[in-house]
Amino acid sequence: MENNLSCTDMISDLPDALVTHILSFLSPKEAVKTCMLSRRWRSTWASMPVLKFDYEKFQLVPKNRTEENWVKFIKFVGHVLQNRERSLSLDTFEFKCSPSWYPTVPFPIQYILLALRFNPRVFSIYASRGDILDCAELLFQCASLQSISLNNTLYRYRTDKFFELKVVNLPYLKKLELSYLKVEDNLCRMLFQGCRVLEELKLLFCRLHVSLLSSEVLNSLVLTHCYFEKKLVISTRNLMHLDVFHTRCDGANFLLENMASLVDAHIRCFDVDMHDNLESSNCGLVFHNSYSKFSMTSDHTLESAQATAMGQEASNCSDFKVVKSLHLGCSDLRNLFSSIAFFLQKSPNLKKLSVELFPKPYMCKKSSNQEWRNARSSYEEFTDALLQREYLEVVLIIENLSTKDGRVTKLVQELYSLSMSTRKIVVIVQTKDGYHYLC
Amino acid sequence: MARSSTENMITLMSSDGEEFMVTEKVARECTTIRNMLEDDCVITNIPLPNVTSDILSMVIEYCMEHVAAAEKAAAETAEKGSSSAPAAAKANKDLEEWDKAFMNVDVYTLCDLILAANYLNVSGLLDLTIQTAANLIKGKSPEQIRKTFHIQNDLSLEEEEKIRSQTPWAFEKSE
Repeated sequence: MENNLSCTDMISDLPDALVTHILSFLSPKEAVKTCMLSRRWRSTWASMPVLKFDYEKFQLVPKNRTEENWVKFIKFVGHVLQNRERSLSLDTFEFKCSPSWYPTVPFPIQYILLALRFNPRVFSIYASRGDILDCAELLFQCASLQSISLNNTLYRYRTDKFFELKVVNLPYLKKLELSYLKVEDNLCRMLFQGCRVLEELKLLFCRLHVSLLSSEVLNSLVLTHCYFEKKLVISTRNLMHLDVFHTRCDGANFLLENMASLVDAHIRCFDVDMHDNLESSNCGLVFHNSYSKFSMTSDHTLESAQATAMGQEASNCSDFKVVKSLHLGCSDLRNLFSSIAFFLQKSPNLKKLSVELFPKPYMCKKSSNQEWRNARSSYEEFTDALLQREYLEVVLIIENLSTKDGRVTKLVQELYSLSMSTRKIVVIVQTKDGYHYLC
Repeated sequence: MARSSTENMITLMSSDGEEFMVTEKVARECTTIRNMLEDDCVITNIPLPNVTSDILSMVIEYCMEHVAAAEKAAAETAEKGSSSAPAAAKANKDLEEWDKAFMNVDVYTLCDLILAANYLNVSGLLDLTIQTAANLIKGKSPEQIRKTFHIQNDLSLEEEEKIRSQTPWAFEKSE
C-alpha cells in the first residue's frame, strides 16, 4: 500500500455538500460504488442531491436491452431510493427508459412515490409503458416541484385515452413538458389554474383536443410535432417566445390572440403528412391581434382565392410591433413569398427573418424553373417589402431538404445578389446538419 | 450603472497577504464579491482569508478569460446587429478548449479550486472543477480512485465484508 505522508487526501476533506455535488455528476451506479473507498465515503452517496437513472447507461454492453437487465435496473433504482438519507430533500430526480423498449415488467409506481417523498425540485421521467401515467395524479400534487417533464415515449399517436388529472396543485411550477399524451380542454384549464406561475410549456408529439390555451403568465410556448384535433385559440398576453414546429392540423386552424409581448415567433407547419390523406384541406395559420385578423396559409394547397382573401384582410390588420425575429416555412414558393411579404409589411421592427422551404408533395410535378416563373410576382412583392424594413439585418435561409432542391439554390442566388447590391442585409445559409455560412 | 472609461479597480488580498488588482467587472464574476460590492459600493479592498495567493491568481485568471470572452461576443453582436452562429460556436469552442487546458492541474490544486470556487461563488468555475473531479472517478475501480486522490482505505476487512453483505445491490453487475 502506498503511504506517502506528503500525499494528503484532500477530496475526502471537502465539505459534504461538495462531495455529494461531485457524486451528482456521476451515474448513480458509479456514485454508489464509492461506498467502498473509505469510512468517509461509506454513506456519502446517500445524500446526493441529484439522481439521474438512465437504463441505456446502466447496461454495460450498449443496447443490451434484456428483460434480465431491466429487472436489475429497476431493483437498483428501488435500492438507491430506499437507502437514501431520508431527511435530505432531493434536487433532481430523473428516470429514463430507452425509447422503443417495452419491458414486460412494469416500473414500480411506489418508487416514484418514494422519489416524490423527497420533495424534489425537478422531476423528469421518460417511460415506455403507459402505466407510468398512474403516478401522474400524485406527481401533479407534489408542491415542491418547479419543473416537470413527463414523457410517455412509446405510445405516440396510438394513445386514445385522454390524459386526465383530478387535482393539480403546483404553486411553484415554472416549467412543464409533456410528450406523447392526448390532451383535452379540461386538463389545460386545470393545469393553468393549478400552476399559477407556469412560465414555460412544451408539448411534444401530443394530440391536442383543445380549443383554448389561455394564460396570463406563460412566457414561452413550444408545440412540436403536435396534432391539432380542433381549432385552437392561443391567448397568452405575456408570451414572448412561440415555437410551433412540424405541427399537423388537418384543417383545424389555430389562432393567436393577445400577443402583445411576442418577441420571437417560430412557425413551421406541415399540414399534410406524406403518409396520411394527401387531399386533406390546407392548414390555416391564423393570427388574431386585437381588432382585426388575417390568415396566412403555410401550405402547398393554398389556392389563389385564398391568397387574395389574405391580401384584403391584411389591409385592416394591426402591426406586430414587438416581433424581432420571424421564422416562416412553406412548401410552395409563391405562398412563401406572399406570406413573408405580408409579415414584413406588418412587422416594422423585424431584425431577423428565417426562411425554410419544405419538400414538395409528390403530387406537384412542376419543375423548379416553372415554379419560379409562377412565383415571380410574389417574389418582387417580397423583395420590395424586404428593402422597406429598416431594421432588418439578417435573412437566414434554412436548407434542410434531404435531396438537393433547385428552388433553394435559386433563392439563395437571388437573395445574394440583392444583398450585394443593397449592402444592408446579410444572407446566411444554414445547411441540414446545422452548419451556417455566409453566402 | 456607471460607465466610466477608467474602470473601478478593486484589490483582492489573499490569505498569505498578496494583493491582486482587478477590474470591478472581473471581481463581480465572484458572486460573493458582487454581493459585498452591492452592500457597500465604496469598498475597494477585500481580504479573502480562505484563499491562498496561487489559487486566487488562478481564479482571477479564469474570471478574466471568461469576462474577455463575454465582452468579445457582446462587441460582435453590437457590430453586426446579431451574432453570427458560426462565430459564436467557434468562440464557445475556444473557451471550452481554454477551460480544458486550465483544468490540467494536480488533484490538490483541483480540490483547492473547488473550495475557492465554492467560497467565492463562481458558478462556472465550480461546475468545471466539480465535473473534472467526477471525470477522475468515472470508470475507475475503488483502488484506482484511492490512488488518484490519495484516499486512505481505513475500512477493515470485516467492515468491507459488512458493506458488501449489507448492500449487495450496489455491486451487482449489469450486462
